[in-house]
Amino acid sequence: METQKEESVQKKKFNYKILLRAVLALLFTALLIAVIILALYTDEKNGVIMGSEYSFVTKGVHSKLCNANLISLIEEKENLFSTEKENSDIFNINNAPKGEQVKISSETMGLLLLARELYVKTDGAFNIAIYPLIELWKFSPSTFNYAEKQPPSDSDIDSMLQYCKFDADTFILDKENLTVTKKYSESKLDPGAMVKGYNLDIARQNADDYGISYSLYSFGGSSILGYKKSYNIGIIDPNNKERVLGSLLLPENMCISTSGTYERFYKDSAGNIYHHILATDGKPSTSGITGVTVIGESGVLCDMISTAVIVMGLDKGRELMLEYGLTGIIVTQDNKYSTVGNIGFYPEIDDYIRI
Amino acid sequence: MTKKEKNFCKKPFSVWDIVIYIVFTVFVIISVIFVFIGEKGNTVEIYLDGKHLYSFELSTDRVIELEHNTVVIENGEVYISYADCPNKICLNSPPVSKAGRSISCLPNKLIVYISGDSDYDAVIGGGL
Repeated sequence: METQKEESVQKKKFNYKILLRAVLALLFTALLIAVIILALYTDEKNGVIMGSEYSFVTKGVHSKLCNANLISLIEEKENLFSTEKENSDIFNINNAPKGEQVKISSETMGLLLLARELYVKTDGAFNIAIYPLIELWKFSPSTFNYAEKQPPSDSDIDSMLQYCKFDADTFILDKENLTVTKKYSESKLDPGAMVKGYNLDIARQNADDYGISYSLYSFGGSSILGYKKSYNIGIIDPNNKERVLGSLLLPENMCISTSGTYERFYKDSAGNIYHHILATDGKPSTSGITGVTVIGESGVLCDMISTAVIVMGLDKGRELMLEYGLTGIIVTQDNKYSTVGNIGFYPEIDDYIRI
Repeated sequence: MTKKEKNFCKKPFSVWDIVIYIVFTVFVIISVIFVFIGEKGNTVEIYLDGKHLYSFELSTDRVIELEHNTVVIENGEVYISYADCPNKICLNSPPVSKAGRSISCLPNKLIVYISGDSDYDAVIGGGL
């Protein structure tokens, strides 16, 4: 009897341990699955914000939260920088009469001061105050289409030029009191040539805050950040946008920005082509540069410089890039390209000449 | 109780437990890898207003009627054939066929993106 009892007690104990082990094993497996899924979890977001497309491919435990927060951050920026959105800082400046002090946020002031610095540095090649001329040429988002049309007359352009300066006289930037005062009611700003890059800098800061593994951020298809990972980037041939000119490995945490004359353009009845990047004379740039790629740490700087280089031309543009410690590629309309700095560019088509 | 049984009860984890755990781990990792990195052909991803709406195979011809746009998949290419916006810039965009390329109708917040195997992580171009 006794030995039987002992045996049954032992049996019970044994069963209990087995159960404990099974539960432990199950918990362990569940935890493992959860950790692996979260670590491999990729959140992809595609959409339209500030009038251009965005694409985020983010990997890491908090990627979904991180991307959602980035979108809300950029929506806040839209309320500062949009030319279309009522009561944004830029909208208020554009619609203010001359002499009125327009109160703006310190963030907008920071952006405008940077734009002023580049305006002076590039002798007006980078100019966010060229917007009234962009509208006159019908290249603004609400006015542009590919339909054949006549360009504005020289006299119309010349009469508009005086309003399109971003110097200290035409736009008074008071950084103490955070106000902007215009000299002419007609003057208007469009920071479109810098906000996509600026968004990349916000994306980087946001990703840091969420501690995500790595991520690829793209705004407007023309500004990209490879966060904590190097990415292979294909560069569209500015002279034939259906093919890729070549590729380069974008080092981790670096931004890349392009500007091209081939995105927005139209023809007149005589077949002349007019593109949307206007030079200091208020007419489409004739520097012969059709595409510029700029690589650097600061997204906003890459974005700004890429536009300026198209207007400035090969030699001056290259000098400017080197001065800011940026690398990149400059492509001319006659199928030539020039690299600036060591970018490890790998050309993939053979009808181009390197200069 | 034999010596073997005694040991078994004393140690909550034996060598065999660890072996089972390792088998579990390998199994889980392999299945997760299969789920995430499965071979995929090129697919057309349609996003509207920031939300993923549809995925279609690029190889199957199809017409997708949306409220403000019509997207056409034809002969391995995608293009937008109808837009009710005033500028109609998307109707002038050439068809796309390669993974990583996209076309969009910005006023209607429509993005048509081809995902799949590409030589590049991203393609860049255009812009101000």
